[in-house]
Amino acid sequence: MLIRIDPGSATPIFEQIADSVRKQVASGELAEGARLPSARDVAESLGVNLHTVLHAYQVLREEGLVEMRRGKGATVTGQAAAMASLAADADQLRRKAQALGVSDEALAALIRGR
Amino acid sequence: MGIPRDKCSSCAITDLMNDVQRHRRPAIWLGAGFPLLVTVVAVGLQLSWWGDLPDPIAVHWTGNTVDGFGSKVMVPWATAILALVFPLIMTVAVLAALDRGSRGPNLRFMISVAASFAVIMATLLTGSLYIQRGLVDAADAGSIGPVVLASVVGGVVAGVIAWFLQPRQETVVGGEQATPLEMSPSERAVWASEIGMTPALIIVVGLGTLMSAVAAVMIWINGDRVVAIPLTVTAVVIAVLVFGYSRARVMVDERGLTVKPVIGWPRFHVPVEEIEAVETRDVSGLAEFGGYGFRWIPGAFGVILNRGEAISVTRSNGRRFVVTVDDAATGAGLLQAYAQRRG
Repeated sequence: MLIRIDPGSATPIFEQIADSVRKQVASGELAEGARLPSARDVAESLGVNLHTVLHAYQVLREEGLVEMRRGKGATVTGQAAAMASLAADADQLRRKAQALGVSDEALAALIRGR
Repeated sequence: MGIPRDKCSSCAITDLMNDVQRHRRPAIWLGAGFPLLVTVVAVGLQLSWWGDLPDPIAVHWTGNTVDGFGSKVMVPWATAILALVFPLIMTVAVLAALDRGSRGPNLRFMISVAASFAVIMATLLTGSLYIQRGLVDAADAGSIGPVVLASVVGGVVAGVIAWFLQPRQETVVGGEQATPLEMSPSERAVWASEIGMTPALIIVVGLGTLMSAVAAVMIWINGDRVVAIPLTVTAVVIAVLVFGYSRARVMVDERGLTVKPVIGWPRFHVPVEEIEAVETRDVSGLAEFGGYGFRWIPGAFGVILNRGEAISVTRSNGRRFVVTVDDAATGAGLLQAYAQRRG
């Protein structure tokens, strides 16, 4: 799996790390049972604080996308398949919103508000 | 009027096919045809002595004394498996590597080993019957020493001849240069993947472990320390190798390529500043590295836990580091991007 961050971006680093994982889950590259590298390894590799990576993993856990097990580290849950199957629909909805001049934020707010 | 250029693209393809054929043919003759011939002759000889042989026959010697007996029916079967099936497995792996475009002394050597192995096994098994012709009780069989000597000499001679009957092979690694991952200058990335032996491979090695463990326990009980100690050590070493090194983590980051087995040590690292070239390629562990696991061969080191996709890195000293891993293209792409970023 690939985790990319851009320290120059306005998006917080933990959010960028979580986004990398979400993106690969949506595309099917990360399926149920896939093991995420240890937070320590990721932190060392990216030159970021360990807590930043743990924060990202925590966010993913709250979304139900990964689970943490002692000794096994963070693994992708069965939720991955559901997210992958929604990805195509989400793309379509987003394209429709863009065509209608509705921003991503407005679309997300619409979904959240229902 | 010459041949139009576009027509001659077929010349290159013909050359390539000729080259494959030039290497395939001796590999087939020496690695499959020769073991078949050796096996047929060996089994033929064994069967021609059948009526003169005691049953059970002697199958194991310690020093000059027989200390193990077995059914004589096992011998032709063992000959077929050891002198024919084993060489065939090696040869098939080499042919697959040749077809993929790989060349190298290691492939040539594997074929020599296949030919040599066939002679060693056929001579050993057939010779063990030869010295038991006309015996009523196999316990009276003489020393196996001369047979062992003959099989080793025969094997070396066959291996050397097979080596020189094959054409020279300059090392060619049929790889594809990695396309660097697109990254903005401020971007940072890490790629991580887990590698592991397939369950089938683990079962094979695991059964081997179990058998040597059982053998070790039985011999401890029966009290032959001299045999029990090495067997126990072997069982423990295999267990550690199987369960500690059957899985590893491969990581690519700013610092380079790192491979770390689950038990944490030893850690293999290629620093990004030592990277000359990054390629992706298909690897057959058996043909190119002589097996699976951590493999040293001339010019390369490989962490080869399964067959298939691999990242191959050429270091500035010319040596290659190869690791089999899924989605090798992404890992190689990131490594290439970092290597290029450094200049």
